[in-house]
Amino acid sequence: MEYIRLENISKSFGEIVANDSISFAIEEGEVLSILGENGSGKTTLLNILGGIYRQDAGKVFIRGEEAVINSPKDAYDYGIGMVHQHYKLVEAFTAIENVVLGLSRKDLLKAYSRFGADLAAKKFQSCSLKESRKYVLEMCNRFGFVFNPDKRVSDMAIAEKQSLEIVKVLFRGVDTLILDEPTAVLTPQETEHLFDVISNMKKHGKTVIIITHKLNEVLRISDRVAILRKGQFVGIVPTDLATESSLAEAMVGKAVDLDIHRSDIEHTGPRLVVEHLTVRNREGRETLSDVSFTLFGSEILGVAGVSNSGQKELLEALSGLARDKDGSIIFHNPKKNRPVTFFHKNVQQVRALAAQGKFYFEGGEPCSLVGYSNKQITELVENRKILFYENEIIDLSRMKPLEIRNYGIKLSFVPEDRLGMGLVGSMSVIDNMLLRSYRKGKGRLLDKTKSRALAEEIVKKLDVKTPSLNTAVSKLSGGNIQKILIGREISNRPKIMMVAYPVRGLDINSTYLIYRLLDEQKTKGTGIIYVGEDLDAMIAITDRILVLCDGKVTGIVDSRHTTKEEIGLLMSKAE
Amino acid sequence: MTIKSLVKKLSLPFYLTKRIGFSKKKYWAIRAGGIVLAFLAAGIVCTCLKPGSFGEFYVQMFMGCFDPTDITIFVDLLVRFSILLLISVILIPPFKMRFWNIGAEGQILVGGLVAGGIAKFAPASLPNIVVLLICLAGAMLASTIWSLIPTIFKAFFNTNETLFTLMMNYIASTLSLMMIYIWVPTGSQNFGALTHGIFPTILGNPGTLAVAFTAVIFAGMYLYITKGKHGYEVTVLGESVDTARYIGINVKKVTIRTMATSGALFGVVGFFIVCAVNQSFSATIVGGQGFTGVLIAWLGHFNPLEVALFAFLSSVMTQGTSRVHMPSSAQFSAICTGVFFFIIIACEFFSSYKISWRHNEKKEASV
Repeated sequence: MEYIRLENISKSFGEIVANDSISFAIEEGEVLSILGENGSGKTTLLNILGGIYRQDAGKVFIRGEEAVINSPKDAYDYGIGMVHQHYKLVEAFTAIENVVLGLSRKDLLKAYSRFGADLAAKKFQSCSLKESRKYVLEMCNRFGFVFNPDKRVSDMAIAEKQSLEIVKVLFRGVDTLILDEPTAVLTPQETEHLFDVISNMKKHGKTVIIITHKLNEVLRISDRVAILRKGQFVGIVPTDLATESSLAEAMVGKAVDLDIHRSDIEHTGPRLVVEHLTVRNREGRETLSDVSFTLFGSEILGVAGVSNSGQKELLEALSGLARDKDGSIIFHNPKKNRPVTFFHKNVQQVRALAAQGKFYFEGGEPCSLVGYSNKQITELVENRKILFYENEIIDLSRMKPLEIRNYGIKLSFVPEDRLGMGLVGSMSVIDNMLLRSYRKGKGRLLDKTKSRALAEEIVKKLDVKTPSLNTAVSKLSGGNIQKILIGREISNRPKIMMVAYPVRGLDINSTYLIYRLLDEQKTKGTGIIYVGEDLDAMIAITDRILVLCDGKVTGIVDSRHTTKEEIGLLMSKAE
Repeated sequence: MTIKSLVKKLSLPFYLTKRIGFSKKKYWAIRAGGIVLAFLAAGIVCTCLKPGSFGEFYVQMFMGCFDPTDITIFVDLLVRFSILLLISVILIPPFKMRFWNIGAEGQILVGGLVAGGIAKFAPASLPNIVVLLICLAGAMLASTIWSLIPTIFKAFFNTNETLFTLMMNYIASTLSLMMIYIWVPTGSQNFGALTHGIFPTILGNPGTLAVAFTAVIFAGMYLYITKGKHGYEVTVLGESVDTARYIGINVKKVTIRTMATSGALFGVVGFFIVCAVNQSFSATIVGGQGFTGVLIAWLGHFNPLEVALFAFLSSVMTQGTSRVHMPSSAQFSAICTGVFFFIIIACEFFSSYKISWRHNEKKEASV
């Protein structure tokens, strides 16, 4: 039976058309996925239904009657509740306090009667927290929630917060629940549990609308899929008739290859050896505890974990940004059998290292440099006559980012916050290329010739869509922004590359381009640390996966012989 | 009547939306409109105070700035413009760094105080040029210290720089009054005309040389801000501290270096005001230009050329209106300048926001 009908819904933000005359109907009691790439207008559309935005044009009909939804409160009155991507809970309150927050006595009585209270039988119904607790628990039983009403929000894991948001909405008596990207922050096990809850809700006659861009989940949970592309409605199909590739094609508008290529090559020995790394935040709390691992050259090492398990801290510590840290971070500069240079050593240092027996002459005989004058040493080094026996070993644990750079260590970092850290949104493509290299060149003025050339090269090679090289990067789409950032970080042929959530929010084509680029870097000998959230993709592209839980390493597994479930268990393995 | 319907009734008949993708042409058209409107408004104020003088007002205003028969009038304008331009441009690097320095007034004043003090007490045997150089060095040092005090607190203890720099203005002002009280036994409110350590009068104005130096400083600042490595660091730091740290910028060092530079330059301004333009010192000698400079740097979006435009327009407004024949021309000029800025700022608002009337929306919905 038709339940909600959207008719020609349009919404624009400035010149951006987020929803362009979208019409379709939602059946009562179904699980409907709204599928689309980032920026396709999914969230905007459902925000209109949830009362956050007001449509510019078009109408919403609920059970055949036109509905005017001007606020989330109006949406509740129509039985529509929404759980947003970013939770809106009072951290200092307990779960039950958050559930009843803002409900009047009338609302509470309604909720009680919905979940088993016989109000007529009692003369007076108390609305105390204790009473509410009883009925909330009754409701949770019904839907299969695991729910601790007395836990404080600040003590909750992210999955618990999500359950609480759903409980909050259900207790208000909604018939339709909208979930915005609900699985983005969950482990595989938690996702399974959420899907069980959704099935239970369906059994009890609720309608569930899920906003997502994950194809496998769509197929797993929903009855039908509505697909949006660039603000337009593409179609609605029963899930039985869809496959991952048919959905991807509908989403993108053309056939896409969903295979991730992983080159099988031998690693080239240790590149970065981390031992007993502990990082503390400003308040002195440990955000990483005793982390040890080795990254090899020509390897992609995945880092998995639920959000805020220490991934960000790990990358920042390795790049020299963490302030308070212990442990050692040893970089193996691949110098074996390569000439010694003055790039980050002076004559005295060369002499000292030679005395330790680190070098040999071109011909093969050992080189201790005893009895050589400075001038002779300079000449030998400049003519590349002195070579390293072994890789150079450098301790990075006490270095700041600039020191690491000045030392000549090629360490690239693609941070999670692209516009807030990796790039400057208001600056042009060219000026963003300068971020890494503006210090180069003599004098006090900037030399933009090289960065212009680099910008041109990246735009051409990675097919960046930009009106010009002088356009502010914040005006570009997410995929193009990421291409510029990764392009810049790859451009100096890094020895170590760290990427954090490199495909988050990107369109499918850019996503696969970035997977290809990372694999290509691996074949060039780079050691790559890949922090991600999509476990399927991570298993497909990485060689090994390190799992973090609460700042500790709970395991390092071989990507070729692991499963999502194994990683999921490690992700929630609390000690 | 339910509360809900009451709230609906009481809600404003319009709402604001941010303009996105506004073309540069349109934007400047609105700004130009605002400038014209601001000059018209000054004429209207004048007509209100002195009926029938609308046309006459503009003639007098023009002659008060660009009188072709008297070059000194135009030199006066240039001197006024130079000082205001310098202040505004020196404020750009701190503002780009999101360091809201509203202490320009005080930073200039202490520079002027030291320059004036040195000039006043320098032995007459020293050549004028030597005294001038000592005055300049002293002024730069004093202003640098004055701007570094809040900066160091900001860099190391993260204090609020807006309040701190503002308060430093009052300390500077009171300090000046105190020094005048100590140094001027006659009880006068100023140092009296300085005879030593002063700029020569050229084209009828002692500030003419300062105009020439301003041109040089402005060119230097333009390069520093738009093409220099330091300017680049400042912009990155202002946009995001995380990005700055990510690329290895030492945030404390850049903050302190930028404020020290702008402080030293404010010392130069103080030196110009005391040794060149006024050849005297009083506690009110900066005359609020430190605050006007904040406004102009902001209106010019921290772009040196735009800032120059607004500094020029503001100078024309102030000088032009002060030369109009009015009973109290100084106050009249202040009113006109105020109205001028009020209208330009209003224009800024309308060029970034659009007003939509709810009334129309209802009509559209019913169609």
